[in-house]
Amino acid sequence: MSFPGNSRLLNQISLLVNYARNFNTSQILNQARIGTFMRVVDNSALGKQAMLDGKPPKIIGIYRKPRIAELGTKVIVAIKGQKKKGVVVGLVRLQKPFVPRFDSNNMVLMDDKGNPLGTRILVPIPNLIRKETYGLNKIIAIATRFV
Amino acid sequence: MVLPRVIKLIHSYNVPLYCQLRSASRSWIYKGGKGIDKGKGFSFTYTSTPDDKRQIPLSQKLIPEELESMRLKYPEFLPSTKPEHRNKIKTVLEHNDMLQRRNNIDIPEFYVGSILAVTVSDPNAAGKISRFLGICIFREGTGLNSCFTLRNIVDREGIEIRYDLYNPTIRSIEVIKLEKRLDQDLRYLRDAEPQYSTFPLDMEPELRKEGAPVPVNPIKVKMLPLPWSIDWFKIRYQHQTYGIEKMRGVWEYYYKRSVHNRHHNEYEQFDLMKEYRSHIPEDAQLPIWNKLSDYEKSTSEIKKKARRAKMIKR
Repeated sequence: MSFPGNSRLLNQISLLVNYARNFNTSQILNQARIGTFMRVVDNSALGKQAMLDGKPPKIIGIYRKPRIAELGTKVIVAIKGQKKKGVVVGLVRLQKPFVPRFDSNNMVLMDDKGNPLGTRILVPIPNLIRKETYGLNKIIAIATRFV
Repeated sequence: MVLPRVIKLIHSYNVPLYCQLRSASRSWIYKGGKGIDKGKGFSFTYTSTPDDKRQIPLSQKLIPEELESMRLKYPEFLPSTKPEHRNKIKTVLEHNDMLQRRNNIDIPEFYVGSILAVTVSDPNAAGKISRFLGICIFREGTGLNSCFTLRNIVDREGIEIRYDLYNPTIRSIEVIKLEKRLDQDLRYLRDAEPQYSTFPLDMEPELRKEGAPVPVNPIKVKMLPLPWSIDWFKIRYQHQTYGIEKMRGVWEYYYKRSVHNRHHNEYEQFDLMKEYRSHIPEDAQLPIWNKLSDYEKSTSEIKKKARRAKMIKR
């Protein structure tokens, strides 16, 4: 289909369609909960491949009683047809003062024993995760920068 | 919308003196070339009579020109815009606490759009100190609850941190670059191209003459293609977003869809009591600015010395 000389009109129509597609009467939930897609930020082969293929991991379980993931909570994800554990390392949701808010929902992959699959984390991670009660020393060890 | 002329005339003539407001929120509006609007509650176009023949002159000023910039410099000292949250005793007590805090730490003047570096004592951080540098994208809250957000992109990851301005865990606030932008709310940088919010963490502070006027950066930001996380044309406190570069195919109407402009009916914008409640009149503003200017005069020399000592240490 082609409309010669009406490229501007077509542009406007496509913009309108975009507006209509994303129109929602309720507010966006920035929480990470069961069903949200995360972004793997370590350099593990599995995580890299999944992000390259455009099939990011999906949360299917959260080790926390209100099933809403926060900074430092452990989660189960479905990635490339496998079930893996991981730690949430950055969130888009509104945070308390002095706690960073990230532009994407980040996570680091682990095996069942709690050892990280990768050897390095490529983005900064929040200082809050260094708390002793969180017990994430193995992940802190491979981090490059704290915010 | 065409309004009958009668209503406009009533509006201009029957305004009691105490209702002639110079609103805090209206002054945010940037008018191209004119700068801040000078105390006009209502525009002159509503009447045909000249200024001399009016019973009540419209441009009555209570606040002297020296104190005009105070409400932009110290926005957190203004009481809340919601009348149900205002409390006279609370504001007095809070102002005393804030000035006491200002004796202990140098809180510089900064605006939305200027680049800051904040160091905070954090029990979880390595060395118990964490420092973050970024552009100030938003200021909110009044009194001791006032806070500001910094944004930066580090390692290709956008990071925002909200700081309480009067929290005692703050060690220092440095102004790296003092600047204003066209908008009072720069949160649309989340959906803009990353080059507009990336700053090196070891950025060096820009030298600036004392008493020089604060420059306005007229930069227009290129946005990423739709969809965005929020409709950024609907920004509060503003009639229009000025800092977004006009996009291909978007109508003029979309740039002007602010929450500020919305009314339930066509007469609501002429509701005097509503405007009186939502704004802070000059009578209420004057004592605050007088108190602050006295405080500035009493502490200016001490603070100058401290700043010079800091510069020499570097």
